[in-house]
Amino acid sequence: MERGGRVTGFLAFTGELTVDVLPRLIRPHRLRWRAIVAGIEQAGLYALPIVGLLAFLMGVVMTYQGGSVLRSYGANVFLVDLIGITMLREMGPLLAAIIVAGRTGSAYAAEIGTMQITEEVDALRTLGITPYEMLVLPRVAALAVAMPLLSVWADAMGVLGGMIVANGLYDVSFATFLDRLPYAVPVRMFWAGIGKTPVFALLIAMVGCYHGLRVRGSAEEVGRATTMAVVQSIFLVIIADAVFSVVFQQFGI
Amino acid sequence: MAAPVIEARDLVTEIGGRRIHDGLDLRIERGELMAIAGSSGSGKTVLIRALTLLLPIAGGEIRLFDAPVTGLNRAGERRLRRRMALMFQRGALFTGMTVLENVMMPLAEHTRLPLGLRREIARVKIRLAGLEPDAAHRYPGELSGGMTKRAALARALALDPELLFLDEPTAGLDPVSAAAFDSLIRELRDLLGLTVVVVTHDVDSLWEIADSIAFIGEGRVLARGDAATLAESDEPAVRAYFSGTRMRRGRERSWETA
Ligand SMILES: Nc1ncnc2c1ncn2[C@@H]1O[C@H](COP(=O)(O)OP(=O)(O)OP(=O)(O)O)[C@@H](O)[C@H]1O
Ligand SMILES: [Mg+2]
Repeated sequence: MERGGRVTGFLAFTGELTVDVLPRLIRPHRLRWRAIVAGIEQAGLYALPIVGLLAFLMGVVMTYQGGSVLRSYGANVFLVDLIGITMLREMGPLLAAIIVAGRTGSAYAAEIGTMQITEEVDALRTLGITPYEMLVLPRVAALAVAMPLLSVWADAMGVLGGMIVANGLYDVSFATFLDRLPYAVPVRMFWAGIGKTPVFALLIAMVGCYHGLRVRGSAEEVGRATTMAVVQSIFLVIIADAVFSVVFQQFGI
Repeated sequence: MAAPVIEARDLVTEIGGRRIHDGLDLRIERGELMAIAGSSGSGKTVLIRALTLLLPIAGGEIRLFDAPVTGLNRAGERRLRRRMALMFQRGALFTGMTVLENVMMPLAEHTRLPLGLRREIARVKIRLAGLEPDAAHRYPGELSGGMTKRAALARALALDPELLFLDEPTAGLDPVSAAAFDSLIRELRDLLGLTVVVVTHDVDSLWEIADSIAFIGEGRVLARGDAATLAESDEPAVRAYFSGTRMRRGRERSWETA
C-alpha cells in the first residue's frame, strides 16, 4: 500500500513535470539558462576531483587484482582489454552515477525540501512560477549535461590508473597499452557506456527533486527525503544499468 | 453594487483528509481592509492559502475579481497572480538571494523593465516597507524577525498588487513597529486603493485598522462586523474572544484615541 502510493506518486510527478516542461522546450530562450549553467558547475565541475580520484583508484585496484591472474598465463597484455572494457562500458558510468547520486541527488532533495519548509516553493507559486519550471527543470538539465561529461572523465582516469599499474607491475608499457586500446575496446563500447548516462542523470535528478517536493512540515522530513533520494536513485540506476546490459546484448552492442 | 473582489461560496478545504473549512462564505469588497480573526489552528492560514490558489479546494467556489478561479489556463493564472500578492506568516523570502534581489524577483518575472529600473523600484518598495537601505544587501538569514516581515512586505508590494493578503504581519513585532506597520497598511489602502485581507491576533490592529472583521471558527465564518459588534455577538466563542481583558483594554485605547 505504502509502496504503491510512492510509485504512483512518482509517476504523477513525472506526468506533471512532462506537461509543465514540454511546452517550455519549444521556447528555449525562455529557459533559466543561468540556473542551468550554475547547476552544471555545481554538479559537474566540482565533482571532478572526487570522481577522478575514485575512478583512478578503481582502475588501480582492478589492474592489480586482474594482473596477478593474467600474469600466471603470461597474458599480461590482455590487461588492456580487461581495464578498457570494464571501465568504459560499466565501471566509469556507474561509478560517476553513484557518486553523483550521493553528492548531487541528495543535495537536490535537501535544497528543495528546505524550500518547502520555508514556504519558498509556495512563494514562487504566488508569483506564477511553478516549481517544475524553476527548481526541477534546471536541475534535470544540468545533470543531463554534467553526467556524460563526468563519465568520460571517470573513464579516462580509470584507464590512467590501470595503465600506471600495468606499466609498473606487469611490464605493459604505456605505448603498448595505448596501441592496443583501440583494438581491445571498439568505439561502440565507449558509446554504449556514455549512452546510458543521460538516463542515469534523469533518474537521479528526478528522484532527488521528487523527494524534495514531497517534504511537508519539519526539518526531520528533509533528512528522510535526502536518504530516500540517495537510496532510491542508486537502486534505480543499477536496475537501469541491468536493463541496458540485456538490451545491448540483444542488439549485439 | 460593485462586484466583490473576493467571493467564496460554500467553501470546503481539506488537508490530509481532515476537513478544515466546511461551508464557508466570505465576501470582500474592493478597497476594503478586512481582518480575519480566530483562535490558533482555526484555519486562517489555510483559508488564505485557498484564496491565493496555493491549496486546491475540496468543494464550493472561489471568485476573484469577479471571475471564477477554476479552469484557468497557465496564462490566465499568471495574469491573476500578477494582480495579487501574499505576505507569508514566516516571510518565505528566497534564501539564496539578498533582500533587494528578493524584491526584484517579481518584477523580473512579470515585467520587461530594464535592470536599473527594476532595482530602483525595488529600492522604493524597500523604503516604503520601512527597511533601512543598507538592509537591502543582506541575506534573509541575516535579518531580524521584524526586518524579515518588512522585507516580505516589500516583496509583496513589488508589483503594486490590487489585492494584498497579509498573514500575521505584526506578530512578534515590538508595539511601536506594530503600530507603524498598521498605519502603513492603512495608508497603502487609502493611497493606492488596495483591497487588503489581514490575518491578525493583534488587539490594536483589530480595533483600529480593520473596516470589518471575519471571525473564523468551526470551519466557517462565525461572525462578521467591526470589533464592537463582535464583542456583542450571539456566538459564545466570538464574544469570549472579543470581550477578554486584553480586548477590553484595546477597546478603551481605541476610544481614547478616537
Ligand atoms: N500542512 C499541514 N498539514 C497538516 N495539517 C495542517 C497543515 N497546515 C495546517 N494544518 C492544520 O489545519 C488547521 C488550521 O491551520 P492554520 O495554519 O490555518 O491555523 P491558523 O488559524 O493560521 O493558526 P495560527 O493563528 O496559529 O497561525 C490546524 O489544525 C492545522 O493542524
Ligand atoms: Mg496561521
